[in-house]
Amino acid sequence: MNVGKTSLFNELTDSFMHVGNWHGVTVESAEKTFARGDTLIQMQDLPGIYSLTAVSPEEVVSRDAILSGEYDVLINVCEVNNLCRNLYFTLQLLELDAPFVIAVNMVDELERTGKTIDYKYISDRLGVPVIPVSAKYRGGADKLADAAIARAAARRARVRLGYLDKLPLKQVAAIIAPNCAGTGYGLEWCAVKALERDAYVLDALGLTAAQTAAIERLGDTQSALAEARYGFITEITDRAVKPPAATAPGTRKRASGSSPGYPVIDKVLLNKYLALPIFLLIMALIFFLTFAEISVPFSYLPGEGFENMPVMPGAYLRMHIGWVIRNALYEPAVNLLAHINAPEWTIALFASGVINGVGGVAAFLPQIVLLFFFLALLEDTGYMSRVAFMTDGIFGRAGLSGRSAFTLMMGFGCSAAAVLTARNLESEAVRKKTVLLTPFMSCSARMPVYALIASPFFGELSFLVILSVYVIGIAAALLWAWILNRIPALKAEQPDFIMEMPPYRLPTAVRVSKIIAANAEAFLIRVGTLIFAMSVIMWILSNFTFCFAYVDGGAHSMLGVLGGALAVLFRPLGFGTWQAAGSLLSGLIAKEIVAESLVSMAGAAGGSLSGFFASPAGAYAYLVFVLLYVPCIAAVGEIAKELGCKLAAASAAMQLGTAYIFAYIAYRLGLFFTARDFGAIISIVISAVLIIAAARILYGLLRKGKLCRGCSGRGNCRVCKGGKKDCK
Amino acid sequence: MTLMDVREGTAARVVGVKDGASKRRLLDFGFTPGTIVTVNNAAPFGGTVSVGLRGYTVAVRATAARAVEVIPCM
Repeated sequence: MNVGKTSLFNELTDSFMHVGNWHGVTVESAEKTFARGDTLIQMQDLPGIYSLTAVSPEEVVSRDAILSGEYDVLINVCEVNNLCRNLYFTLQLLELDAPFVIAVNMVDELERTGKTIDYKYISDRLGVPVIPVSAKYRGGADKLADAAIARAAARRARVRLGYLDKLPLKQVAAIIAPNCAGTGYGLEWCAVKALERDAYVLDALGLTAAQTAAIERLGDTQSALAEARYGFITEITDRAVKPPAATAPGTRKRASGSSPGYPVIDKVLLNKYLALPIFLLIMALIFFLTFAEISVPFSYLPGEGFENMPVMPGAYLRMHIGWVIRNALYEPAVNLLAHINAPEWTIALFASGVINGVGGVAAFLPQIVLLFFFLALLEDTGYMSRVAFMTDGIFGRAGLSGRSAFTLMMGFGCSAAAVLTARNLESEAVRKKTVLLTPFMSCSARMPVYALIASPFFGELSFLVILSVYVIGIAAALLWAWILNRIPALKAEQPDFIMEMPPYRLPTAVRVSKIIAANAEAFLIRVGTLIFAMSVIMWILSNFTFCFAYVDGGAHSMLGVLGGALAVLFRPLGFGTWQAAGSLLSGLIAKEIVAESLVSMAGAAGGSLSGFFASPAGAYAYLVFVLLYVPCIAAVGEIAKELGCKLAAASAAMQLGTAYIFAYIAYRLGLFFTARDFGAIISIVISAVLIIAAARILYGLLRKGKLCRGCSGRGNCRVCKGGKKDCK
Repeated sequence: MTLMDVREGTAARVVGVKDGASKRRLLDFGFTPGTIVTVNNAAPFGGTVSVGLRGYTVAVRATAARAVEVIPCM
């Protein structure tokens, strides 16, 4: 609905739930209690809903909450630019006779257009208090709370809705009357819903075939009802909404060929030929500003490594934080510990384990915050829904929906959080596929690993290397979309995609600073708790033997032994060292720990990462592996919550396999290009043949499992010839 | 003709919505008989159109757009 329900909720309850200029940001209900005067109010934020006949899972959440009647009062949030369509839902609340007040949100935008609205007229016609509010620029929210409290206490007569008289409501009521008592809903409401062919209510009524036929004989009542409702609304809005007085007809002619409210900028941004190049340009710009390590020779800070000054904001800020950690924490701490004659291992734990390791991750704060900030900007301005629109054609062909683009883009931030946003997708198959593909999008936690490894191994080319890793992630997702669409159970039935496109909006300065503060806080808490704890554990594992003897790093440490055993598996990928294998293990907890443990282990190995990877090609293969292998435990947990354990396990296996194959190819191609190793190409070809053959056999087996015993998937079935449909 | 056949940048009047999976949604979004709709854009790879109606904009995929019967506005 994108009317700003959550913004209003945040203002009333003083919280910071995620909002965006996009329909369906809220997918679960959130609850908070707050005090207003002497009244203690428990408020619940529900996902947007277009109609009481729910279509997607998150709409069901709202419908069930509204039909449950377990509340004192509802706040129906409408948006000033979209009053006509929003009142459509208001009428459904009136039909239900639910206690509610109307909040008309974003009235500040009205001032800009010069229109005026007669709220009292709307209130009189509907018999419901109407309160203009603006969640963005504080105002009206207190009045709204008071009106809601007053309405909760008051009793009101049922509002007579004249438009219902035009419909064969009485006939339907007569037909369904015997079934209605059992549903717990009013007869009139059941009749309205029966006219609307609401599957949920019809199911609750349990009509006989004869009753259903009798209702169908009344004709296309669905259209008639929608028409009647909209007719009634237009009648109200025509009187209540007055066009700007200053613009006499003809002085400001509407641009020909576009509807009112259609932003002219979309003519360019959504142009058939320009739309995608512009989108890619915007994404490239975001990545460039966040990750590019372009330096100019310059020096104003004392100390080593400052001869080259990064000019892009992300890298620039990271360098400064790194400098502060090194000079204000690392050196004083080491000096102090040495001064008080602390044991060698304590110094090493603090120096390389905690300060260097955790600090190494903390230094990425600016880049991670910057990335989240840009993603939030895309959302807040309304551009994200344009992305969904322009990619719908491609995504539709891949068995996804344009809305999947939103979830996948959020995956660049955090996989675990992005997976949740898939709830508002149209169909189960699309939702499942989108969730399965999301972890292939490189989340912000993986970025420190890329940056850490790219600069020593690839120098000036770092930015291109990191960009290529992101592109590989997208390519892997598209490849899997294509594969998954071939699995009968996940084949999309080309669901209908109908999505509101919000007007463009500029986020306020307050909102921007809140986004930055919230993301910085979340990241620092994560670094201070999970990453810190894991860094200590990882340091102990990599510096003590199984007999708890201190070894100062090395293959005899616990991690060295475990990683060494795993390392054999990674030798064909060019990073068969215990450090590389061990850090991958740690990445299962959180991806930042991969970077953390690499820094800490490099500390033990004289500060260099070069010993961990066979060659730059091996380092690159490692990056590809980190990108694609099993996401962190939090993300796997979310996937399991959304899709069930079985599919979550399948997803983990799918990622691991993809990571291995892609890293293998990356390594071999890397060897070919760096060392002209023709053997590498041959080995790719041989393994490709083997993989395809294996996939073919596996596919045959899977099909066989699905079909009857006689089927082998090759069309020579003797048992079910002409019988089962799915046996071709 | 259907919504899919409306030329970009021109308006049409809705005659009705054919029965089908998206009928309810389309009606909820205001594609009721008599409504004037404007096709603003077609998506780069086809299959989806951006439609303006009742003062707001909505993206509709071809499968749903073909269910909306319209007559061109003169």
